[in-house]
Amino acid sequence: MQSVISEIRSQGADVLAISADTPAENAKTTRKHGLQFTLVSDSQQQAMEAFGTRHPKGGIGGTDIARPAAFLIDRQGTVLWQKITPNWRQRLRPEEALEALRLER
Amino acid sequence: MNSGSDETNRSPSRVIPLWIGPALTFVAAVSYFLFFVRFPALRDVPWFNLPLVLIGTFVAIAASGPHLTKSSAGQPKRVRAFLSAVAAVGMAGLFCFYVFSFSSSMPSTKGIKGSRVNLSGVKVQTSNKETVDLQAFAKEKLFVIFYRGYW
Repeated sequence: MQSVISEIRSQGADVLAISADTPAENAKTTRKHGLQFTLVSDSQQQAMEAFGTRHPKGGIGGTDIARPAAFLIDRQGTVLWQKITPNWRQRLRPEEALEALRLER
Repeated sequence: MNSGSDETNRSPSRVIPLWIGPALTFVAAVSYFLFFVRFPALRDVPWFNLPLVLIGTFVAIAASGPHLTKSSAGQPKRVRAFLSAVAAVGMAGLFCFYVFSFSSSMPSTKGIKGSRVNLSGVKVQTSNKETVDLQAFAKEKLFVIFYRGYW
């Protein structure tokens, strides 16, 4: 997503990435990859509960983590578009995000 | 005339060293995670790595086979051939298991919100350890991307 972040923002949208990683791990990831969008920690698992993306015992050691999923939502939380893959190797591609924005224009 | 006959009689193990197959399989499997996973087209379906893993396994079996079947092969050579084939087949098996089965072990999509999500009251933590309401990130359009993280 980093590769198309400017294009996404130019269309009035933004990106928020959520995982069960700790804030410290997110800070490290942001620095390491020079990410220009926000990573937040869902350590209390409230966001994955709200979106229904919890993967029970999916993490190493049997912890609950989020399954890979992408949502395009508006200010009210209305889901305009979503991509849920059946396999965690498959994730949102930048071109798919741009296409979703184009369709929702 | 004889050269053609010699070529046919030459067993694969005489032209293919035993280590080539397992090494090729190992490099093919490991390079998927270290490098090719960065490219969505090669990550979603390992078009490059999967054939290479299978070729490596085939090479290992082709190189080991003659040592395992010929009674004239010495015991150490037979053991090396056996280990070479087992290593390649094992790595290929693990790679195929990861690609075709393990990475698909996901929960049902039944609970996933498809219409509206209540953002207010949902707390997340920023990299500065501040607890923030998810509503604070709301925009006209916002991609909310869940990922598994670096667990």
